[in-house]
Amino acid sequence: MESTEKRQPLNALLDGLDIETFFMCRDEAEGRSLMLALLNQLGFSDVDIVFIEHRGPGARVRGRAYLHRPGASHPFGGQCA
Amino acid sequence: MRAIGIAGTAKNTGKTTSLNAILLAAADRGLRTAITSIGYDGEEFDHLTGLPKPRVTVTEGMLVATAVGTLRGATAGVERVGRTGVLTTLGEVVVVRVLQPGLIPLAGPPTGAGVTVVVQALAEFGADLILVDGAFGRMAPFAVLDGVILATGGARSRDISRLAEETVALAWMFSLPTLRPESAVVVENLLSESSAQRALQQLERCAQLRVAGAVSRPALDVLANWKGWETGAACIFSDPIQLALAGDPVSVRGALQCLSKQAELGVLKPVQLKAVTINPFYPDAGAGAKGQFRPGFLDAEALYGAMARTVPVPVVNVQIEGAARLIQ
Amino acid sequence: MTKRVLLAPIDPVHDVGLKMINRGLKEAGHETVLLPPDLPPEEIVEAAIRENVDCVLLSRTLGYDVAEHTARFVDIAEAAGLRQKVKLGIGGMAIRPELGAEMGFDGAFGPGTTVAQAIAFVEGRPFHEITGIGAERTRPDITEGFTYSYRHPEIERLLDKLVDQFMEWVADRSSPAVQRAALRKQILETERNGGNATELRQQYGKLCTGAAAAYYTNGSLPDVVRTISDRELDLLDEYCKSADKNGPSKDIRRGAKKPLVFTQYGTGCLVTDIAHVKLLEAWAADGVVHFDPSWGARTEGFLEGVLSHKGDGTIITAENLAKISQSLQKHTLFQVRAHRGLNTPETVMLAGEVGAHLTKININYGSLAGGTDPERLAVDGYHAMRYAAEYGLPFDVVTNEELAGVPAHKAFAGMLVTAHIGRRLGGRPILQPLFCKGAEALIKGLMDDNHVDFNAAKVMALRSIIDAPIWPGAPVGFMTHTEDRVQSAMTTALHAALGAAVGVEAVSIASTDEAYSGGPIVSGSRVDTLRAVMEALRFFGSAQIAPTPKATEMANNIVDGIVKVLTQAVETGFVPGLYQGVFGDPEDGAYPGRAGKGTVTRREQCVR
Repeated sequence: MESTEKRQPLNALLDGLDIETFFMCRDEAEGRSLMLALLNQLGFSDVDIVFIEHRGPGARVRGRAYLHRPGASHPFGGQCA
Repeated sequence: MRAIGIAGTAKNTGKTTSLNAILLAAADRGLRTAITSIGYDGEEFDHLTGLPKPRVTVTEGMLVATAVGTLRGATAGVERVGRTGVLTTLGEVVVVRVLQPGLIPLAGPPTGAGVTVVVQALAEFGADLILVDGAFGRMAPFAVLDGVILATGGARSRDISRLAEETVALAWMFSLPTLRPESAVVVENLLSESSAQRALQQLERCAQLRVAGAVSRPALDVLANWKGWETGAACIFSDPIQLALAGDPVSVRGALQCLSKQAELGVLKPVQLKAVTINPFYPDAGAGAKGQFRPGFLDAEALYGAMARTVPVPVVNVQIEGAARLIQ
Repeated sequence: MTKRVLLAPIDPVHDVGLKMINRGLKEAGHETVLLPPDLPPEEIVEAAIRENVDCVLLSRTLGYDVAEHTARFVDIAEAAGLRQKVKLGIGGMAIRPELGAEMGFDGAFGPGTTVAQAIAFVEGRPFHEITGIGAERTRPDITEGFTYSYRHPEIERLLDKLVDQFMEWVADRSSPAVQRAALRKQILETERNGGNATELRQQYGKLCTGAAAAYYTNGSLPDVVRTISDRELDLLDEYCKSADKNGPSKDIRRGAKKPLVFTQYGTGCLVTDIAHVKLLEAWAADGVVHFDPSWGARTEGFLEGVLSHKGDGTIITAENLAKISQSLQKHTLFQVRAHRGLNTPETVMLAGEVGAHLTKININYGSLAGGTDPERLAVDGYHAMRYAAEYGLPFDVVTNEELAGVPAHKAFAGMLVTAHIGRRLGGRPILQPLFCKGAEALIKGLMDDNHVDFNAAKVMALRSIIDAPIWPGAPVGFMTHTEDRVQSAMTTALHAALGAAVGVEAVSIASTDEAYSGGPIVSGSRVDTLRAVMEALRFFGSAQIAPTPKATEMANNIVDGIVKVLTQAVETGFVPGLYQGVFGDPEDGAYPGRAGKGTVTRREQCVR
């Protein structure tokens, strides 16, 4: 890197950010809305649930935020057409 | 005591909005009301379209018959007052009385038999007006009730004149006279052209035919074209709901009108069409990304005009004028 | 009772799932009629009436207009009078269970519904059976059917001699742990009968050291320990109830009887432990294993109360163990470990009292790599095994000293001695070799090519010696894990699959945090490993994993090594052998422990 200034973490992401966790929740629907709300809270808008499985006390969830979608943008400067 | 069903001609025709408006108007009038449903309604979001759905608002003193499993989703304060013994996938249908107003999800008996039991239970607890909420276009269980209110609108069809035509056809079916069968020949469900032909082959001629159970439009065509009707014959169906379920209402009416040239039409058990509520809303799938819906609206005035002109029962847009007119 | 079932896809194309259910129903002895796809609802209803069926199963794969089609079907079925006589079920890729409630089906099953569940629905068996595991899920006994007869006469002969000597030696020996166990038992009995146990507690306290002594003197608890409040326990109860309400989980083995899958818990906080345990149960672990703090092993005596601990390992108290035992579902196996430290007899006694199902006892590991004095642990281990027999608790004998560097043959020799003593006492030991990448494997290159041969060799060796249950631990894949989640889950899963392939009774598994030492294990990491194990067992089913011919060679070497060690041990005696390095010496990385040195008493010297 030529520059000595600290890079912003989100700028160093190639495409997406996944969040994996376990939510205590009543059912799958609640687990989904908790994860989506969490991703929104963290400031992301292009979000989705990649995986969720609810059993017993809660749900194992992988949520995803897309920072760059191929064809729409990429991290190497500039938007796609 | 009257038991009225609220049937939507499609999902999102404003059934629940109408129900809430009627409950409010009934409370104003001091009527002791009770509600139940034939399906699960009252989720926060329509899980098919992702748009918010209204939930049923209950006020103090109302009786509600719903499955135990739904009670945890209620914001209204309720106390259990009885059981019905009717089982659903969400548990037994129990009767609760509302102590503090709020929202309540409804999941009641899905079958006509179950509805009969639940309505009886609610009547025993002193309800004057029992409303049975429909579920997504279903109405078969309403055959056991006194009357229905039809909720229709943009979600059923975006073509206003088509909507009016269909509603008029349905109203016509609900207005068929009650006929008492005397030595009628009884046939069971006529659900297809072939089963209708088979049934008629057995009879050479017929003065009175009672169709017990369900019919379909192709079967009605067979009946209409049959040469075996005696003069002054009568054809009696179980109830108007069976006719409403037979297929596209306009073509069903057409087939019935043909049949009426051969035999007098009637029903064994009447169910009155009390009123029609209209809702200009429709879920617009065109605009958004895949699977996303946005709200769309028909011209409310035009809709009201077309319907009120032609439909022989009261037509109400509850969103605009409330349900006072519906309560009689 | 035979049912007649009509199956119909409400789709333009056929449904594979429905065809599988059709086959399953026929195999279960029912009569079925499978309709072609693309029929209007009226025809399906007519067919149901004509065929006089008991049940109609619909399927819908295409995701659009699902509600329209299903609602219309239900309406026509109702209008035709079918609903009074016939059960209606619907399933398929496009079906969510909520749709069933909205449409009024008697049963609605989403994707992932098994054929067994559909059959249970048709047969009218209760809903909890429909989730895949019957209400009568039983707790299996790992030791059932094993004769413990020896297949290696010489080893049997050597063990008999060795244990004869040992039994004579231990007969008049006792320790503070043995006395405390007896006192604790009396305390529990006295309080159960409403009596006052103050005097007994004082006696108990006199036999304690360190934090335990302080507690019995002035009621104080160490800084890192606190009592858990009633409110916390109440909230925890709510959580457990809702976890249990969601029903038993899918089976991890799809109906096979073994291997049972055990997971260790022990975050330090009892509340968190129980929260994790409910999760483990939901994801189909068969049993859970208590992990206690290492400082507890060096302290004489137990604290009391429902206690939380800021550090690895959850403190053993009668109340903590009782609380955990109560919060388990009735089919979950509960193991309390008593394999090291200065409190092993009391641990086993408490395990028995609170209704645990298994314990863990080993004299060799605790004394050679666990820091406990060999003589002391031998006496305590003997008494622990007596309690195990008294309470009917099978116990595994684990060979953790392998991790210190002791070669497998020496560790196994020790394991067989302990197991043999256990048998003499009427107990039911389970052999626990490690599926690990220990020092011996690294130094001798035994795992250079693969992780299959040496592990398989261990099982082969043991099987050639004795007919006893085998349960690899602890956890399997020890020392092969990295902090990477996928790698960690995979290595556990593969080791578990190997265990299944060689037919062991059970395996102990870890979490994907196994290699992470920066903090406690989190819930997601536990789930990940269980899911991976489930997938590996699914992949292999009853297919084989074939070791190379090297495994047989390794197994023979292990057996030969065991014979040599036991021969030497007969010369020295079991306990002296522990001190003299027969079962593992400093070069192997084994050192006789110090904790409890000099505390063994002989009958003349016993304090009341």
